Amino acid sequence: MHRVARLLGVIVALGLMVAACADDESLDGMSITVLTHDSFVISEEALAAFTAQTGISVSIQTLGDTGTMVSETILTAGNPLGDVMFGIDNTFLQRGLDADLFEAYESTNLGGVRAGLDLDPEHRVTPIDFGDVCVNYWIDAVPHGIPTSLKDLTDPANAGQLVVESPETSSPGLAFLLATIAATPDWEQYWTDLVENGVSVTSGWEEAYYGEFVAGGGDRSMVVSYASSPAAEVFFAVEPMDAPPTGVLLDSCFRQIEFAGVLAGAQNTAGAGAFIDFLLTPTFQEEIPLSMFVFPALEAAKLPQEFLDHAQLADSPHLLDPAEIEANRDTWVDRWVEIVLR
Amino acid sequence: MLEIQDLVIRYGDVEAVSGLSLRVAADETVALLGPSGCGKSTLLRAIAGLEPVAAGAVLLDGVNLVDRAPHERGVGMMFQHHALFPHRDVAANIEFGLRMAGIDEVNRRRRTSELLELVDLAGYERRDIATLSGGEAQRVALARSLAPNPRVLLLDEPFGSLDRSLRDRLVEELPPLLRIAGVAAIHVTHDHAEAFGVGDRIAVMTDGELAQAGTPEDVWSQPASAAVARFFGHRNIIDDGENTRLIRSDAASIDPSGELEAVVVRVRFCDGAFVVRFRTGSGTELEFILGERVDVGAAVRLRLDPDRQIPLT
Amino acid sequence: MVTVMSRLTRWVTVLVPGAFLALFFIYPVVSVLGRGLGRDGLDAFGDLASSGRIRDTIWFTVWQAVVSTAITVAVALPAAGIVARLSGRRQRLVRALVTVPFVLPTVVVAGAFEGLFDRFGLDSGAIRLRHTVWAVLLAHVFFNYAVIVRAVGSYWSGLDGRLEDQARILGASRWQTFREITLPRLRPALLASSAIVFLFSFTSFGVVLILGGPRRATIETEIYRFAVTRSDLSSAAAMAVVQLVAVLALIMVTTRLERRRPVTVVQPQRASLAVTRRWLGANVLVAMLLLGAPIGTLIERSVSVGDRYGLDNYRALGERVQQLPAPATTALWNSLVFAVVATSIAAAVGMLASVVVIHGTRWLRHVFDLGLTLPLGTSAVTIGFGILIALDEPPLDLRTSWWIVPIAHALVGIPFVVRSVVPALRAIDPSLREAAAVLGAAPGRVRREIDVPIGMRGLVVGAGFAFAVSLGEFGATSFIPRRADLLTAPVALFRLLGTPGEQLRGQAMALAVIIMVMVATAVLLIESARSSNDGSI
Repeated sequence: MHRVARLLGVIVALGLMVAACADDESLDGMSITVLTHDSFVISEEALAAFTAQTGISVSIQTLGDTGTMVSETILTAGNPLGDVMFGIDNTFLQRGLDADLFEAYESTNLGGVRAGLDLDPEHRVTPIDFGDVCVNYWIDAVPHGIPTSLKDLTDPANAGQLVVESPETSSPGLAFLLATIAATPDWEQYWTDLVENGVSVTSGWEEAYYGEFVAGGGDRSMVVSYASSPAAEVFFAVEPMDAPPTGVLLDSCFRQIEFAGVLAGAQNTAGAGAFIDFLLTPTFQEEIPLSMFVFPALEAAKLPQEFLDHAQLADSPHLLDPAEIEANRDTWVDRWVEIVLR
Repeated sequence: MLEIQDLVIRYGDVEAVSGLSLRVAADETVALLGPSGCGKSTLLRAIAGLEPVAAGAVLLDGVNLVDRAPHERGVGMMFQHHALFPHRDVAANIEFGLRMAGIDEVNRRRRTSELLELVDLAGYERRDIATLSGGEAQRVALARSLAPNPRVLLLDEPFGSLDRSLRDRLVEELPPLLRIAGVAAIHVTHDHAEAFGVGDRIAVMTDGELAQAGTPEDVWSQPASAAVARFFGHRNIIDDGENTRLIRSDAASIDPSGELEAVVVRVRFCDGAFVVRFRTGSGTELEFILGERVDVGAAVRLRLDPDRQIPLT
Repeated sequence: MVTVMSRLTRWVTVLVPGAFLALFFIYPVVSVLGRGLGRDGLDAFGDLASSGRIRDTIWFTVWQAVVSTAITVAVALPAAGIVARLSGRRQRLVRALVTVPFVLPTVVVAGAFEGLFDRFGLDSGAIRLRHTVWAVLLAHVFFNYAVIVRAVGSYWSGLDGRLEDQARILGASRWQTFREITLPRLRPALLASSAIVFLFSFTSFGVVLILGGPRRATIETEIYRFAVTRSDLSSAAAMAVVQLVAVLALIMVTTRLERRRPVTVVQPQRASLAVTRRWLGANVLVAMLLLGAPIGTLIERSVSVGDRYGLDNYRALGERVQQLPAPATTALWNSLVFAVVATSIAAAVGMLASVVVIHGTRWLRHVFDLGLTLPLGTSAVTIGFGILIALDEPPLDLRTSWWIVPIAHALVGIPFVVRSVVPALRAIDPSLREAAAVLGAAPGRVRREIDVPIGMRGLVVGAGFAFAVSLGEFGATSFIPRRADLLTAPVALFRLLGTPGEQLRGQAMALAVIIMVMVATAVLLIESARSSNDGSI
């Protein structure tokens, strides 16, 4: 039994050690917990700046992907896991609103936000960043010239070139589907045409981009990705490059907006509000591009050079009303599955 | 001194041992002999406390052990498959009982090397059990069981898993060791040659009961029953309906004026003497040990010593 | 009869694992199923039953698990035989190496397989492996190879090889000998490990999603779809119940088939390494192809920097990348700490549970064996959501505590520990305990001197696996809140792969390679503490 006792001692010791190192929850109520998804990044400097300004310490809990985050927050609605949520996007927004997840909060910095992003007049959620999901193409690999419209994707000249993600399991996949629904007169026909034109479907973005798309050694020259992907390619290239190897099909873009909201029933609503205000300050907004590769909602935020040079935003991206998305999503996805996967 | 009084051991409805009584003096080895399944191992285990007793007493120097747990009895035991602890070396095995008794390290070491000397395995302290041969392992097991100075040593077919020559050798070596150690011992075996080799006295068990106990010579010469006789390897058991008698294998000699006519059927040479099988006129086969050679097929006359013919019950 | 425990010890031994299981598994699962099925429970079942797609899904889940298990056993069994004949250091090395695939994140392995399919032309034309069932099965074999090789291999090496020699002398061919003599004797270990392979294949998520492609669905992916994509908790709960019932049935069947192991002779003679060179060569080839090729691809990708080769990716791991809240090296450290904690919990709870499984009353034994294996076959969504609902009030509000991560890991690690320790304890010849008792050891002492040290042998082997499970972050923690500042290696890897860019991808590969090295080293260290050959995993 000595060994067992020793093992237990090790656990306890380690537990205390880790708890001591990572302890930042003070008991005097001056702390908040932020719920977010896997892709959220905030620098230590920014967090430190917030704490210095407000005296509130921040603990961040990641809950998986966006869908999981929303589901889990709905699951724990009566007794929320944190004070503020960051990362619910317009495709999930209505679901969150219907579940009364948020408490209205009008941020003092809301005025500086770009037009067209503040989708909730009741201010239950506040827009923080946005980005477009668009078809990317590998410039040197497209067989018959650069595609310029959604229609081009169904052109037999581009047969077997496109890879998309399934809207059942992928957020960009869903966004692209919504784009086609918003943009084409008969989206079901459009997809039938895409299928006839040899579209390939994967479950997730990694597999599409790194598996089938040319960027990862695959043989497809077009992939559903982000408008910021070309900029990322430049920024993270091994050999420095002047121009990105990929381009963006602006006609296919669907706008994804990410929001933050104070959770109903939060322990520290004031702190949550202060955090949302902070998210809309240039300090945070200006680090968004290179850490999360999306665009800051704040109009005045300065973009890094790589973004100015290589990232694109559609002038008129496709957008659907969140309520409409929520009401029809299941039906649309089921139909899509029937057309594309069967 | 160990005294077993009217011991009864049950397995469910079956009586494995039925009212057995036996006395073992402080310095003697009693060989407990019997066929497989007669209850001798059960008896041993009950003395050690590994089986529950239904009735009777086991007195060690006057104290009844029956209600005591195995670790409180001061009895030693050797198992058929040495049961050495595989996760400890030779010295740790031997010291085990001493450790349980709270003996300090210095004295444990001393006793361990004493015992290793005794069993002729000096220097084996650090050896891994897995590397020991069968004979070595049993000797370590013996040393282990002797280490805590038990007053009684129980040996449960300790040589059962060894080959013939090894067994014979250990049968030679064991009694002096036990004498030096000064323990009373019950040595269980189903092999009568082994029993005769180790036992100061022989106790024969059949079907859970003690059939006979006595010195080797007494028991062999005067078996109490046909079953016991057969067990000793006596072959010439004649049952003529009314009486059963045993003709000892040393009862016959070739004599032209002998009363028995027989034909030699088989001759074997064993340990310096001839074991000859005869067929009598009535078709009975008898086996005798003779000092002289005879040819197969020869017709001879045998004289039988009446003192060496024993009535059996 | 040698009594083994005092009353107080007995209570503690039952209570600790029982409470752990009840608190962190039973209570959460019951809560989430209750919540899901509460209102329209029966309706949900009705809907599912009437859906053709769902019926197909259930059927597919079952048969792919069965076939995966069968193929894994067929491929790994010969390797187990070879491992059985190795001794000491070499055996431990091989056993540590085969554990490596087990710990790799699915997304990385899927990528490696895809790369291989591509390279070997299995990507187009007549032989397309992409998004086929075969890709799924192949990946399952890759991941679960270790389970069979280790469990059956170690048990096999504890069998007395003289029986086989005897059969050969009597005229049996190698195959006959194997079929008639060896295979029946391997049954306990084979059944136990096959059950685990089945459970892993049954609840496999990432492999099905990525390698199976969007057309394949299993019960596990459907639970995710219902719970997360559709926020349909009722259907998700109904599917979870179906999954649990199937898993329960399987565990009960294998438990019944698993007879009590024969008491082994304490020092059996191991069969010699007298296998034909051809056999050895063929098996090494299969293993190298199956395990080595994907791993080789990973290693190659990790050292390729643009057009040349170099260690830049590895060096970059120490630096802060904007995508990650902390450098990758910190993530590795965090993973290590979590793994140590999770392994300690699994070891402690598993040890006690093993004692109950061996010495407990019949009812206790069944409940514990069943209950502790269930987490292996339960959807990560179920466990994650369940914890969120159940453990939401003080003093048990652990939802956002860092402790919940190693606890969730331990849930998966405990069955490995139990399945390692129990065989080791069962293989103890009762005469060892009797000898100890007669030599003066009181019952508690007997346990300390005999059971614990010998059980320890099984423990370190099970602990090795628990460590690998924790490091590889098996599904159990996908749906549990994670503290961003306690980033772990697999999560970091996932994030690195989430943004386009060659640098990030190279770093992700490098991180994967380091995780592999870490687990191989850890398993080797743990196993070097003891050796074991009694059926433990």
